Amino acid sequence: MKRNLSINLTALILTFWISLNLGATKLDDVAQLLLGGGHEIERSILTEIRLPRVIAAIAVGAALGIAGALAQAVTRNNLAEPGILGTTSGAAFFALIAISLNLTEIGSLTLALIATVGGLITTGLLFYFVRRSLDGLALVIIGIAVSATLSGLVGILASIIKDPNAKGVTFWSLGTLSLATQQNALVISVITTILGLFGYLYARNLDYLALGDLRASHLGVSPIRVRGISLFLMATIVGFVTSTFGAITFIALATPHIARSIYGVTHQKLILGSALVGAVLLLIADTASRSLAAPTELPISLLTALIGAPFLAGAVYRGMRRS
Amino acid sequence: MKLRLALAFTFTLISITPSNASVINIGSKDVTTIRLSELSNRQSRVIALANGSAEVIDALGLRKNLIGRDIASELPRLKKIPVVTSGHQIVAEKIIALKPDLVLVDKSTGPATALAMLKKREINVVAIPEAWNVQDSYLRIKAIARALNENKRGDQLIEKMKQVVAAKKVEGSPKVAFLYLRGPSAVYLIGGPGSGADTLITAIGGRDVGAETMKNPFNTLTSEALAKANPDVLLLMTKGLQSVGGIDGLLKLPGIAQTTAGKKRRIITVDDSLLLAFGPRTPSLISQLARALGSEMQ
Repeated sequence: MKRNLSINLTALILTFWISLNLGATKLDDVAQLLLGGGHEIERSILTEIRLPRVIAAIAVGAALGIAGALAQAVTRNNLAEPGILGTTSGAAFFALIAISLNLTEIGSLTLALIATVGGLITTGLLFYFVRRSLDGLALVIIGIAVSATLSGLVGILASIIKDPNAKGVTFWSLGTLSLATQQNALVISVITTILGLFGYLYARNLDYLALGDLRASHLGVSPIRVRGISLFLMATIVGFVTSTFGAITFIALATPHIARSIYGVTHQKLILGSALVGAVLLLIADTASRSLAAPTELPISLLTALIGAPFLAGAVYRGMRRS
Repeated sequence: MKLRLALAFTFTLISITPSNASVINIGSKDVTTIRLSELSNRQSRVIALANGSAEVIDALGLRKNLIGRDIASELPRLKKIPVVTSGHQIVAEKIIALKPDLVLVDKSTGPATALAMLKKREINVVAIPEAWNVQDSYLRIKAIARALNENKRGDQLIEKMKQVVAAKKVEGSPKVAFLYLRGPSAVYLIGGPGSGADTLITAIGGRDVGAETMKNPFNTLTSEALAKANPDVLLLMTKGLQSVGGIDGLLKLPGIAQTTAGKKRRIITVDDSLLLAFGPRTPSLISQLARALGSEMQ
């Protein structure tokens, strides 16, 4: 565990440093710029554009990793993730309704809370209707149906609303970290730290849940309460991420599988591991998205899939061979 | 504590509403059209489908000949003449029903099947060149005048335009970037060589940073690259600025805030149909642009 953790942390620090050095413009001496030296424009590019974006990528990646681990734990279903459970599309749908009613704007706390409620209601209702087979295929199929319906509505709303806050269909279907600023990077980092810490401390209850609802009840843990609290955590994470950076896909699905193959199945380790793996994956994907085709950029969700998929396949294959 | 800090920052984020914004907008009403005296008789029935060609025909004093116009010619004087295009596509049925003698088209007029249908009916379809700079606009006026058998009037109009176009240049060659915005995003379309705006910027004594560094007429650019180009002034279309939520929305986009133009709020917007029209309104637009740039740089 300790060895894996230190490898993962080293990977994160290394990716962090490479990310700071790559981008649309070449910055000569990043270390000097960080210490307040160098050219003024280069310094503002680094501290006001690139650094906030790198930090946002780490925080969002960690947040989505935790959300994915929670989703799979409460359903005991390896295909569960906020995208399939309707959390993401519910959050986006409620956010767009709020924007079209002129209630608030992108990046605001109010919008994040409204998106959280949207994700909570959608996934809560899904859980209620499929409560008898949360670990089965019914959850996945009905979840995909609900998500597809809401995504369709989100697409239509995003196309017809003229308000600049409505962004475009691409924002709500593929997401982007290009709108990261010092402020929203700080907010998402703080939110991820608080919720991640809470998730980590609460993870023991998820271990009981993994034994089955009946056994968990015998051990004095209420499955309904554990699911409710975990769902609340997941929806809050997804609400904040989606309302600020759009729907970034694949990270939440792939990360827990990769983390499980490295850190094992105990939920404390899994949540910590998912946060780290998610952070590294999204940071690599985002760095690629803004430097492969510089000075333009590629949609982030295309790269999360492209980079995450081989790791996901490798992790599941390794698990299969072990069992 | 952390939560309180987060809340504080979020609210700061919400409450940043920049004041004393200094956007200079040049609308249709701010420019004058150079126009010859109007001929009262109709010699032929003309449909102007080439971008901005109806405006030129009007400036030649031949408005009475117009029975249909293109969507880009938006002058109030032309409002009564029906638009016979749907977007940039022409509708053959509508055109044939108007029984024209002459139809003016350009490279972007389509679809080809509709044009072929007009030619089959022996309607005189004349292609005129597009204009992406002031010099081109003279050639276009000549071509339109020739098609209407009014060569002399064409020369007169060009002469009149040339007298106005010699606007006073702004000193200090400020760096200007022409951004084509459609909705908030941190990836921008910046005008490069041949965007049209490049010749306007040079005409008023500015340096077009897009034309200097880019290859294509329009190029995508990330926030970092825009910050690096660091323009002193931004040139936008009026609806482009509206699409990002006005100056407040614009200054929130990463990359804009870091430029001198963003920090000092030096933004010039021009009516969407006017900026790249390159017709009889362009000379007046150039003097207005020079005045706007001069006052932004003070």
